[in-house]
Amino acid sequence: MDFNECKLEMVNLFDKDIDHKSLTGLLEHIQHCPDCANEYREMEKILSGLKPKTQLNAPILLKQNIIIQLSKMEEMKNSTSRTFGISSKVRKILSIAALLAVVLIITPFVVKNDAFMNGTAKAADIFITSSIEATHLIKSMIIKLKVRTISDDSFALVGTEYPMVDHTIWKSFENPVKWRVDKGDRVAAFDGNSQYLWLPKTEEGIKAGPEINFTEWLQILLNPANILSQEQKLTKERGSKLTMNEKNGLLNLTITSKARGNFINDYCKNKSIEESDNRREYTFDNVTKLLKGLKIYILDGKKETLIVEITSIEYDLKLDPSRFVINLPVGVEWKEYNQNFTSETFRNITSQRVAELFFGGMARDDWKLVGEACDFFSSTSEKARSVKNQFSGLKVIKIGEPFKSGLYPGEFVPYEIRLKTGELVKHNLAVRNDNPNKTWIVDGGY
Amino acid sequence: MGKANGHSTLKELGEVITEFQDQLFRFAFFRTGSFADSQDIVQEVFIKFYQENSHLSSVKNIKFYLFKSISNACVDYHRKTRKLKFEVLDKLIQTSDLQEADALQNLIHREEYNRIEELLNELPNEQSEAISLRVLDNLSFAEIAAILDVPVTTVKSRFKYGIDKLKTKIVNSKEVSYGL
Repeated sequence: MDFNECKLEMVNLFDKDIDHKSLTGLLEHIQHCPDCANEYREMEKILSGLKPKTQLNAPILLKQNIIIQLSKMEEMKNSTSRTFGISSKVRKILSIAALLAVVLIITPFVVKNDAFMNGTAKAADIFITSSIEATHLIKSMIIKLKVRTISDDSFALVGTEYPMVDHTIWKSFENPVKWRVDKGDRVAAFDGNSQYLWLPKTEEGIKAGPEINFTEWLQILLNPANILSQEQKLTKERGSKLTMNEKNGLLNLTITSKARGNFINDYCKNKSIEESDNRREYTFDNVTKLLKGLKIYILDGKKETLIVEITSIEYDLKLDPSRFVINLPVGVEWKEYNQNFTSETFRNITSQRVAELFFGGMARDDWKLVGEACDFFSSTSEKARSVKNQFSGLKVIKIGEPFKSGLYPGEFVPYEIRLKTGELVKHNLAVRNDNPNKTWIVDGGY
Repeated sequence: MGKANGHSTLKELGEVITEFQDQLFRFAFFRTGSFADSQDIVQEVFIKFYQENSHLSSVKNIKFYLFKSISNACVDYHRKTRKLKFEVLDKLIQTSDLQEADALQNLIHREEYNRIEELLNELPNEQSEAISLRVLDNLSFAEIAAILDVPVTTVKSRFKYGIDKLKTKIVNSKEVSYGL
């Protein structure tokens, strides 16, 4: 390379992508040409002067903010579609789920929305957003937990008097997302397309789209990242108390909340997390930022009862795809989830009348009528036949005054019946008509 | 479920953000002079990038796409706000939501960028753009050419003329060092 060529090409020495041949040619010439060497040094000096002495990097929360914002957008999109066709009972449970996890940002975060955030709020914010980000990087998880509940009842039901029931959650985050939630006598699964709910005791298999929430409050544990961001919003509306401390590489977050709902009649008090005064204790790994544990206590005066406890969480294990498929026994088929209740008999009447018709139908073996209020009794399965036989020929002793309690959108109707075996049953029938047709259905309590 | 579920694509986006966020933030900051606005611009560009591309891996040149988007966003920013590139430092600090230590660190960054901007202000825009993209944003001449939509040879010429002008300025003012 000669002097003129070097003058012309020298600018390439300041390119990132200079090819080896040009580099060698230029450097060889510069080594032997004092003028070009001087020119090169001067250019280098100028450029050095233009380089910042301090390296400016993106704010630490930039990435997390983007992920959170997109998570929120997706969550909003999903919740919009999820709301359609969901009973308000399920919606209630959704809100329970929402309450459960992350009231973590809580008051300090909200209060310091202006100017300078205080240290605790900022630390909590950074940690939570890191945790959300970390959750987005995992491929699978298995959560084992114990919940005081009844093994064949809803995933939302809790009670201090109930035994601890083992639950397991499997989730694969890889596309398509799949999960399974199993509490022994109630199993829900999502295979990437449809949700399935299997109730072995009554041999009911229900199939629904992804928009329905079969897992009720346990959904919080299936979608921790989304719930975290959702809870940020919820905490702005509710007063909760947050404490945060670090010990032995673990970050402990404790949230204490008051029960929500109407408790003039306290029948529903402490029957779900949200309907109880409760304390939620989260443990995160301070390095991986992933959830390590959760304990929820129901608080009743000075007494506190452990109601939920995660016993183990494992991440990124290989999961057998068959885990997300529920195989039904021979003769049982999946029934499509239906919220389109059309019975005219159960419209424009009181809840007390619903109970009268329901038990009256059982007494007369009018299973068509009973089935209009409670779909289970329309089934011809062996289990349904067995339950019908149990109630067949019952005698109604008393139907009491309906009442409302907690967050349940329907009403409870007290009743006393005598079965043909002579057994006296006293309970509250749960009925609701919060569907588009305003048709009463029997939701439970029999 | 795919993107509706968010997980795998957000993860993919997270990797892209990790790779480019610092470069893009510097790029935006040098063009706006504002931390908050740079953050907003970069954030909005990544969100739009994610929303407009169902398969991020199918975007041919992600780096080019992002730099071009930030560049356009900065042009829009100046069109809308007609703000001075660097605002009064006191005002910026007052309105910052950063803690004291962060604010101090950012003050240092801002002074440093002020110093560089003063030097580049002496040059025609085209030349200062070529130099800042190369030196501050660490882009290759080919990448700069793609973003500015001009031939590589033009970028090299602008770069070279710019350096020559700075050299002349330094000689004239007898400032041998720029605070090195």
